[in-house]
Amino acid sequence: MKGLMRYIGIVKYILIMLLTIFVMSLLSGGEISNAKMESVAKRVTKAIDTEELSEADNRMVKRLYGINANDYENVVLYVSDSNMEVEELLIVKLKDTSQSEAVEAAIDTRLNTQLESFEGYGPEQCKLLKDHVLDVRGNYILYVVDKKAKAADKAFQKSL
Amino acid sequence: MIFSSVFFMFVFLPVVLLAYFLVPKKFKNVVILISSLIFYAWGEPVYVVLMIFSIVYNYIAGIEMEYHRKAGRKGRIKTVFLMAVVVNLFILGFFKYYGFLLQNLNRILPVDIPYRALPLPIGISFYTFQTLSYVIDVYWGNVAVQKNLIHFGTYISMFPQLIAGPIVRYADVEEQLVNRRVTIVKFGDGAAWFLRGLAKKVLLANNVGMAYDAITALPGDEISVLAAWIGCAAYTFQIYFDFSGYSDMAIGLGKMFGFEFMKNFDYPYTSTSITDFWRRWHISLSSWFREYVYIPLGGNRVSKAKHIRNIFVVWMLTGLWHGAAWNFIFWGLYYGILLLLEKYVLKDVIERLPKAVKHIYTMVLVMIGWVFFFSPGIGSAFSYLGKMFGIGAAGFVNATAIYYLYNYILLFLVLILCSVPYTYKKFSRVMLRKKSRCPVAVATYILMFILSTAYLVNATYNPFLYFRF
Amino acid sequence: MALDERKRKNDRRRAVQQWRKEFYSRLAKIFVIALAVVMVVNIIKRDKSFSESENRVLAKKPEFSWESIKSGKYMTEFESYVSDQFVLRNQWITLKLYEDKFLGKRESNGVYLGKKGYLMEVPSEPDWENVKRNVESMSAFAEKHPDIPVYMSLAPNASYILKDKMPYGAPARDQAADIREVNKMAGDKLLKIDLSGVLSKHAQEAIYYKTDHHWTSLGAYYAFGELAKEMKIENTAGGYNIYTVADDFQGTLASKSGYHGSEDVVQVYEPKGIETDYIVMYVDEGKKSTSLYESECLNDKDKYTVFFGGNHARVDISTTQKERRNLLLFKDSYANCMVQFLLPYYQNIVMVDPRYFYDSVENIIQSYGITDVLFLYNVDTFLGDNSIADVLAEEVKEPEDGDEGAEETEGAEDAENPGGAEDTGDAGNPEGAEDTGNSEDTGDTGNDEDAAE
Repeated sequence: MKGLMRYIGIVKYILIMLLTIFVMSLLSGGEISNAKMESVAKRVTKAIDTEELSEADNRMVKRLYGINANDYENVVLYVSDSNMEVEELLIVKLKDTSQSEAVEAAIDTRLNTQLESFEGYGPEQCKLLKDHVLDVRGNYILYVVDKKAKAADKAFQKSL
Repeated sequence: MIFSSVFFMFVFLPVVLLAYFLVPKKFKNVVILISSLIFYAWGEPVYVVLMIFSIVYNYIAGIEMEYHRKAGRKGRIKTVFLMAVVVNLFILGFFKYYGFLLQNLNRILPVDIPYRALPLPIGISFYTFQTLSYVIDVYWGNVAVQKNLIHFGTYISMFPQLIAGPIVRYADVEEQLVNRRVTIVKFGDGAAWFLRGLAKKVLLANNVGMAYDAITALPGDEISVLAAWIGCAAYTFQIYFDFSGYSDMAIGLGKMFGFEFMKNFDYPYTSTSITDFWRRWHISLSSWFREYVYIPLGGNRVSKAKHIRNIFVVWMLTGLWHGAAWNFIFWGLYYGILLLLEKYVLKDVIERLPKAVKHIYTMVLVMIGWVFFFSPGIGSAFSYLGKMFGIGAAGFVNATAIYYLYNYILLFLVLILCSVPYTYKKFSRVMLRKKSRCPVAVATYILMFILSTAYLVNATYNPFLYFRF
Repeated sequence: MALDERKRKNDRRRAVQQWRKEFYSRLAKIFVIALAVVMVVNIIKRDKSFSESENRVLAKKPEFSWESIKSGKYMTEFESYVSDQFVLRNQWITLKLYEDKFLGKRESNGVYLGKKGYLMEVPSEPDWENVKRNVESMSAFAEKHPDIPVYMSLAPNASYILKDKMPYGAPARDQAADIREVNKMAGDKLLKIDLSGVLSKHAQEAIYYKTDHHWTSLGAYYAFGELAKEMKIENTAGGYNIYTVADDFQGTLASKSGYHGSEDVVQVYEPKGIETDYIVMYVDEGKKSTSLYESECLNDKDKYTVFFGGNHARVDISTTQKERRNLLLFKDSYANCMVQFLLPYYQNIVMVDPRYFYDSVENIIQSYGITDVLFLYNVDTFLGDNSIADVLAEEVKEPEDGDEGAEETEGAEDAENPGGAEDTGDAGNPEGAEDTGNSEDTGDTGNDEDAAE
């Protein structure tokens, strides 16, 4: 019995250690990735069908999201060729993780503007918008509206 | 997962009930434990680990204490006990109050400590208080140690009361964990409690909550005195029917599995004093604090000064338990002060007042209390309170106020009726007077069921106010 | 005798206990059966992919993945799936509406349930900063083209004009005051055409749809009278042939509120005595049509889309009108049923919806030789718009080579001018070269290739 009891004491300490590891892993999660934008963008765009999309310039980024691409390390934006489709892909590489809140807010505004524009007229578009993916990983942010948004997210996470 | 959802009622519950009643007695707790873990993980896929940790750790602490007790090592018992208390409080404190603490430190200190606010694990305030109650009761020798991890896990994680109470003391269910029976009558009783709670939450609370949402969303200059009161009254009713409805559903579910839980509310809005109110509101929480904080500190059997200290400690903790924000602490202290006033200063005055006046006195104070509860901060609380009393309001009455009054007057009448014991007692008496009325009673419950389901199918947003605890 | 009484009381108590037991056991059985039946039926039932009455796509069974379990997304999606595919979903929603009405609620999901079956949208709180930005850019636009009259016409919504049909005391915006505010911001460069007067005058007629947030063709007809006056349109048609194209229309507000108790009539107006042939070009889609009425849309739920098939970024209409007047129309969907009145008086009408349009406005003005510009919006949409300023800020693109250079100058410009959007200082950038690549094409196709006769 004594032996068992000593075991139990040890188990307790192991538990506490595991708990600490668990908490630490929760608190981190904002790892900085060294991946280059080109490779990230390449892998993500491969996951979705880019036939009906075209890469857009920084002015479009400013126009659609209200942010200055030059405030960040790198910005890649793909928009639909047709203005009545909502497929869109935005990848932002931050210079500093404190910038993520501003970018997330800009994406949120863009999403809501699109939702409002298509409300009542385009249920298919609305569904795509609602099923969007917004993934914030430390210094990389992905926003994608597409049928294959989840696949894009997977590719995104793998590429970091 | 919440009880008032299509998924819980028509997918989770039937499956769990089926499993529970098919399985032989010795596996019934396994069914509850596993389904409770799934229930919790459904809403907190990551934090379920935390709860499992809590279960295993406290289980071990109990066993250790028993072992040392048998061997007569008083000192070791105390060590194990203290460590368990610290670990439990640390989990609760860290996940719930870490952000709040650092926020305030940053305000006082010259440095700015960066921190990452973690999301709050659902139900942590409830299950941690349950683990604490177990550990403390074992230490005091009030209960026998639970040597079976399954039974213990069932007690802590039981999905009926896991997320939003009532806070069940181990002593109250110790026997029931291993020895309980479900008869069809008891099950029906449970179903009745569940349906009543469901109706309270979905038909009453959610609806009047819309009035509260609408009024508090109005720009400040459109809120007249009347509108402010309507908004406050709406919240007063919403939080009562929301929380007591959920507690009723929990009690009902417990009965379906053979458990008898204590009721958590006793028509609190019929109280005749603040002291009376706290004997009727969130009974399991105030009992917990009384049992494990107030009485150990000496309760009221000490000097007057110490008694006042005890009251302040308990009420500050009560406020803090409700949320990591200053307005909750303020809310708690507000009641602490009122209770002291009632005990030492106003006692005789109140006793002599006619019942109606006592009601009004209590309700006004309770409604004022809720303003601090629902406001995002102390400043906005005072601002809203001011509007209720004419300061900064858009007149006494305005078109907006009348619109809401007109829209919700019927609902308010129903709410008042459902806040007093008379209504239900009369219903029961009338329904059971004649044999022929039995089907009518059944039909009433079915109707409530159908009406509630209509709301649930429609709902995309189904809030539960006490959820962030 | 006391004994008898006591016996009776005991008997009674036992009876009550017996009934109580019966009540609970019956309730238990019914409860379990109800849960079981619903669960089984839901499992057996086939999934629906689209809800006609709610006008949205219904959730399907989510895909399983560890990632989605860890983030909890699988669970929320699964719950949406169960809820969306619930048996008799539409009936449950209707029941809920009746429960609401019974309680006296006159509002459902942002829609007022008004009198005489009228549904009216609850107006939203305007973002005055955006409004100011838009109006100022419209003013600047007018200033940039002093030889082109730029008109602004805002149509108030049903919640304001049909005051008598609103639920008692329902809070509504004073849109006349809002329009006055906008007029103040606009200064004197914009020519304002007031529509509230004429619409109020005819408020008792069917000038708004009961189930949709648009005005009817009749409402547009009255508004057209005002527009013609101010925009100096001469020799307007003497009369119109009115054709009813649908009488069972249930619009956006019916879907939004879930209230399907009313039906609307959709009419089209054909001017008498004026023969106008025209071609409609949907620039983005590359489609052409000889009619602005898309009759296949009458088979859809949203019959208002019979006008142009809905919203488009840009639509070019060329007519056989002799007089050289070319109209550039900035619009929201209200103008869709207005164009049928404007057709006979312009040689070309270019409709631009700034919410979807990202190309150059200047190109249109240049290539078509625009003579009139009209901003036609309904008040609610206008006060919530955040696209107009951006569209007007586009500058004429100058053909330039070297994209790399362009990128850098762009960056530099942006850095110097944090104002961003309005600052069209990035003049040196070839528009369209890097981005969607449409603008150049659309600019050209306007005239050269597909011109009307």
